[in-house]
Amino acid sequence: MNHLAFLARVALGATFVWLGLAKLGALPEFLKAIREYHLVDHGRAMTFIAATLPWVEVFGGALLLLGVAVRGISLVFLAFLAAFTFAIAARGVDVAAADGLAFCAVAFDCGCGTGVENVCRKLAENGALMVCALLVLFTRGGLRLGLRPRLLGARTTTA
Amino acid sequence: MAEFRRTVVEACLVGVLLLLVAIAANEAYPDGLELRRDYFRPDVRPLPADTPATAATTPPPERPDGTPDVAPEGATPPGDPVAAAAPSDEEIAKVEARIRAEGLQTISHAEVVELFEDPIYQDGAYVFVDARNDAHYEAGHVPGAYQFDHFRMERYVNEVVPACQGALRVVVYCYGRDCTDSEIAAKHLKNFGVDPSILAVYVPGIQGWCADGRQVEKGPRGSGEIGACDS
Repeated sequence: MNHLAFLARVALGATFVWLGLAKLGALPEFLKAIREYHLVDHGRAMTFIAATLPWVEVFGGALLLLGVAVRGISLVFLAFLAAFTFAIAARGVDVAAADGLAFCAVAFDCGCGTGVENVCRKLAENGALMVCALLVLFTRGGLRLGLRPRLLGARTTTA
Repeated sequence: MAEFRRTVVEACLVGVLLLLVAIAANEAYPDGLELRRDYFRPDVRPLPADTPATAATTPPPERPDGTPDVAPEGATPPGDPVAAAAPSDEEIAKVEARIRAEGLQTISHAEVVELFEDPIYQDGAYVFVDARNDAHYEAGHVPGAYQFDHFRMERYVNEVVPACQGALRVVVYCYGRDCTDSEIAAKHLKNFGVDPSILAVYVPGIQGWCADGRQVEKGPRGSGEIGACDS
């Protein structure tokens, strides 16, 4: 279980670094994708999210890979994933209803940095990442080989 | 429970720190976004100081036959056969109605083709403005069209605004269908002083242009690399 949790931490960190970098390469497209969700109505709020979220993903993912503040970052990413999953599912339902498609036949650019993707596949990917985050949060294995696994409290490294 | 509480505090702390670092990184990033800007609601901005003021003083070119060439109020002629054949149906009419309700004009595919084929297009009497990003613009744009990606408009404004101000008609387009970049770009151009009576949004966009079998220019403007649209 400890090895699995360590691998989950690496997978979660690497995925967020990769997705953050992909968004940074096309910020206007990411901004447009955020607008498509119609969840945030304020233009400047959308700009703020588009400008900062990719960097939070990149730096947070890098810290997770290095093993700094492991559980805190995992909790932040778990919250992100829960919000993204809700937004993608809600938009998938809207698109399916508008186009008369089965839910799993819907595909759109979710703004995740991976281009146009099938909604069910994306939800499954998010589910897998949420399991990774939970593993890191609730087992000791995620703290292994970290530079500063706990930001608050004793400076211990589990080998 | 104490461990979970510590994790929550750590998450809050890390979240705030990451946000501050993200704001700083965005400021330092050359392709970062302007945090105070609403990219979907063009505001009135002054032209950059180094913009050549040609258009304000130079009258627009005249047609050879001396006929006036101001765009008619409103709209697209109904039942246009070419536009009907383009890959956009009622959706286009709906988008055009929305754009007109916002005080902008639209232009049909047939009118756009007419402008493009008019010999005075080559003299800059009509200006086409492509509102898409670098990758899409360079993959293929209406031959001679200027690029004006409104997300990065500071890169284009010095060249595009004077060209538009000196034109008889300005046609702004993006991908087509419900892409909104062309109308946002048109609003920016209007705010920069381009006469709204010459400004029109071509709703079918590059998709409609290509669906008609028309050729595009690849690479930068004036590259001369004319070819078929990529499928």
